[in-house]
Amino acid sequence: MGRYLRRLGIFAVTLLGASILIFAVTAALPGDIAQVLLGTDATPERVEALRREYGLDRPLPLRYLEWLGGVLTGNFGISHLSRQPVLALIGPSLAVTAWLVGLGILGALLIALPAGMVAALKRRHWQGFAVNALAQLGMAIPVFFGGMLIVLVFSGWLGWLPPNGYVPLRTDPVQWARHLVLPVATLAVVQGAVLIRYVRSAFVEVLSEDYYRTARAIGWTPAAALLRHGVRNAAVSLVTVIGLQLSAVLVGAIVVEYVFGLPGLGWLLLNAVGQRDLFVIQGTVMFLVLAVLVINALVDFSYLLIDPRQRAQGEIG
Amino acid sequence: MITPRSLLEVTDLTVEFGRRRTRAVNAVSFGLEPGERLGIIGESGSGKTVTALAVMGLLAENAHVTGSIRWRGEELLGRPERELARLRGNAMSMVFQEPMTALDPTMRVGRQVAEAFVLHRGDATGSARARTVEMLDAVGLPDAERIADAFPHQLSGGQRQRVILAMALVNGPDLVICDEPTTALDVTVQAKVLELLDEVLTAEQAACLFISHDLAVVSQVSRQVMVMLDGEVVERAPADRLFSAPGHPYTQGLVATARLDLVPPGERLPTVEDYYTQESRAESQARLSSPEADAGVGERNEEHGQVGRS
Repeated sequence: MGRYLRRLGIFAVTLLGASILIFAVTAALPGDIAQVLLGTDATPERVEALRREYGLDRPLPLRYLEWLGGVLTGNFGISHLSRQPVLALIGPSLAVTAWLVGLGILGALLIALPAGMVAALKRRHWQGFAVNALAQLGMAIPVFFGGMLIVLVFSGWLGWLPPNGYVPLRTDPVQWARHLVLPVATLAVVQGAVLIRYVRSAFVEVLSEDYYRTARAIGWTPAAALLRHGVRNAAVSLVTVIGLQLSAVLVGAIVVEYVFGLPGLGWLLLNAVGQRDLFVIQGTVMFLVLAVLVINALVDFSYLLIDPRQRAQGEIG
Repeated sequence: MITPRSLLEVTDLTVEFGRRRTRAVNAVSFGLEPGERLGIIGESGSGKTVTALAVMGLLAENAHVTGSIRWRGEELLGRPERELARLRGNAMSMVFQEPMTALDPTMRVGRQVAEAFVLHRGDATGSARARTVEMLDAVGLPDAERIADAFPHQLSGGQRQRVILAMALVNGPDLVICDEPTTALDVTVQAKVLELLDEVLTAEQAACLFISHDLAVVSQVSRQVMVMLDGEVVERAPADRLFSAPGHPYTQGLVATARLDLVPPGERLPTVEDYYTQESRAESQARLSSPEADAGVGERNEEHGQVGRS
C-alpha cells in the first residue's frame, strides 16, 4: 500500500515540477500572444492594451498560481487564440494521437517480434543478416522521408488511400480507418525497425540460457522452445524498452502528424507554441507528462504479471 | 565388445568448434547396452559434456561433428532436427548440472514436467497432470501436488534437481544422460539425489551416461567408468579397479586426490600433477594435434557436418 502512495506522491511532484518548468520556459520565450495576434505593425499601446485584457501584465507567479488553482478544480483555462476551453481542444487531439501511437506501436510489435526472433534463431545464417540489414535500413530512414515516400506510393501513384486528413471514428469508421492506415504504417515500420534490435538481443540471450537448453532437451525444436519458454522471459526486458519507446513516440509522433495532417496532440502543441498560446501549451504538455508517468507505472506493473520472482512470496516446502 | 543391437554406439566421435576448428573431443568411442550404465570422469574442459551434448544432438551451431553416433543401430549424425527432437526427452533424456537455472523461471514446475509428457504423448486423456504428480512423487518430493504449483524460485536446489529428474524420466526413457547432476548441491542432498537416481534408473531399467569430475560420485551410480582427458578417452575400467589399480598416470592422480582419507595428518594433499605433469600432458597434446592423429578420424559423416541445426 505504501508503495502506491509513494508512487502517487512522485506523480504529483513530477507533474507540479513539470508545470512550473513549462510555465517559466513559455514565459521566457520572446514575444507573447498579444504580439502574435496583432502582428508586427501594431502600435505598442495596442499590444499593451491587449496584454492587460488577457492579464499578461500581472506578475508571473500570480498567473501560475491562478492557473494551478484552475487545474485543481478541473479548469485548464481558455485558449487565448480560439477562445475555446483548453480541455475541449485537447480531447479530440488526444483521441487522434492515442489511436496513432497505440496502433503504431502494435504494428511495430507485429513486425519486430517475428523478425527479431528469426534474427536471433538464424543469426549465423543469411536470414539473420537479411533481417539485420532491413532493420538498419528502417532505422536510417528519417520518419518524415519514410512518410512522404509512403504517401507518394500508396496515395500518389496507386491512389488507394487519402494522403492526409482525419475523420473521427464515430463520424465514419471506414474513412477513419482509411485515413489512419498510412500514418500508422509509417510509425509501425520506423519503430518496428528500432524494436527488432532489442527483440533480437533479448532472444539471443534466451538462447544461451540453461532453461532454453532444457526445453530443447525435452524435445522442443529451436523455434518451438523459443516461443514456449523464450517469449515470456524476453518480455521482462522488452516491456522496459517498449515503455520507453511508447513515451518517445507519444512526443515524437508530431512528425508523423505533421506529414499526414493529423490534428493530434503534437500538432496542437506545435501551433500553440508558435502562437504563444500559453494555456494550451501548459495543458497539452501536462497531458503528455501524465501519459508518460502512466506508461512507466504500467511497465512496472507488468513486471509483476510477467515474472513470478517479482511477486513477494515465501518458499514452498 | 559392441554388439550390433547396442542401445548406443559412439564411434570415433570428434567435435570441433568454430572456424578455427578447435578440437574439444577426439576420436571417442564407447557403447551402451540397454540398461547399462557408464560413468565419464574428467576435469572441466576434458570434453565429457561436449560428448554428452553430441549424443543428444544439442551442440551449438558452430560445432563440427564427425564420426558416428548410432541409436539402436541407426545413425543420428546428420538426421534432421525434427527427428532428433522426437527422440529427445522421450527415448533419451538429459539431466543438467545447474538446477538453479535449468528450469524456466516464469513457469510453474508442474507445467514444465507435464510439458515434457504432453510433447511426446499428447494429452487427449487428460492424464498429464496425474502423471506429473506421480513422477514428482516418485523422485521423492513430498506433497507433490503443492510442489507442482510452485515456481522454480520457490524451491530449494535439491527440490529443483528432483523436478529436473522427473522431467527427464516422465516418458520412461531408455537412456538418461546425467551431466554433473549433483555438483551444484550440498553434500547431504547430493547423497540423497544419487541414491534416488540409482533407484529410479533401476526401476525404469534405463541406461545411463553419468558425467562427473568426482570419481567417488561416479562410482555410486556406475560400475563402468571411462576417464577423459583433453578430449580423449585415456582409460576405461570398472570403478573399483580404477581405485585399486589405476592404469594411466592421470587416473592415478585422480584416485589419489579422491582418497584423501589415505593422506596422513600433516602431509601435503596430493594433486593430479604429482602423477601427471604438465610436461607429459603437453607432449601427448602435441601428438594429438599432429597430422597423423587427424588422419585416423573417420570421414564418413563429413557431409552432414553439424548436429543440432534446424
